[in-house]
Amino acid sequence: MNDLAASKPGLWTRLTLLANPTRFMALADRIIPWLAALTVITAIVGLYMGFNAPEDYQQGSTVLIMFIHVPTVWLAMLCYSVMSVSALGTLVWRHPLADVALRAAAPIGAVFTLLGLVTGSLWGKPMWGAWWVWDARLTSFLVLLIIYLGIISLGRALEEPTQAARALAITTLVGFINIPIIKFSVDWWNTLHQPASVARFARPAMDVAFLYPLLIMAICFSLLFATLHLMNMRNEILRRRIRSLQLRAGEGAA
Amino acid sequence: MMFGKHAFYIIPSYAISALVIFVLIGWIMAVHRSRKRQIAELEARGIVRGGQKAGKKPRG
Repeated sequence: MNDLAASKPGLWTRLTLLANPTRFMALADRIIPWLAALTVITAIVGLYMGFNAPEDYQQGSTVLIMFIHVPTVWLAMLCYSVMSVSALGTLVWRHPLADVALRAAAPIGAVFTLLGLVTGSLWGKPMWGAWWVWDARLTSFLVLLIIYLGIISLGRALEEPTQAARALAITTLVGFINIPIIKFSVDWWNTLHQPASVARFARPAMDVAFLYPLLIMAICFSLLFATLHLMNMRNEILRRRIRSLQLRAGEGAA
Repeated sequence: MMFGKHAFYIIPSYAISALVIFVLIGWIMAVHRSRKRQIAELEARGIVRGGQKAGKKPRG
């Protein structure tokens, strides 16, 4: 029994094993095609269900925008949460892949945030009569985009890897304060944006005809994020290899 | 569900999202190819990582 327990590596051991970038790259190479295939399948199912849902009695056919707007917004915030956990991984556990994960997630999160703003604007115009309003939800979400762009710029500006990792981790954790502000802005302030319809303590305030395709699209976007994140983490590891090889080349030339 | 009078908002929502996501995927894949090529060029010049012998095929 004890031998069996000892032979099965625990979560921490597995995470430690993944600290080896070569091992991580091999695992990512195997997982990425499966994640990509699942993303495509859920996209087909989610879009089919969404486009076959009835028209909303208030929002009419614009409810179709919800199936991409809501998942992009969720993922924009989830991506930042992943970056914040990675920041803790850098500062507390000093896991070698934590900074890789943080840097790789930032551009993907920025793109999801931008899409959330664009699709929200395209939904807001027919529903509210305005492309943009400076209400708490929209403004705090715009701030998220600015934070993402700041983190990307900071990562590019700092050359020394250890210093850059610490600076990025601290900045990311400071910026995390914006995530609960985005989530609860519709409860704390009088906003034009509607309050939560799905992620709330009571039952979701939405008919299953809309809820199911929405949840499938949310799974689809989560899988898309996982796929792109692993792909970009691979790119970040390769960037570091190139840097170390170039430094080695420089040493050899000197 | 048909787009009805709101097609002007629905179609761009999906079109822009699809375009941006495909550009993101394309960018990540292009960066991957470019970095793999850079590493291959450096290794072809005999520059290898620590612990790796020149001429030996790198893992990963």
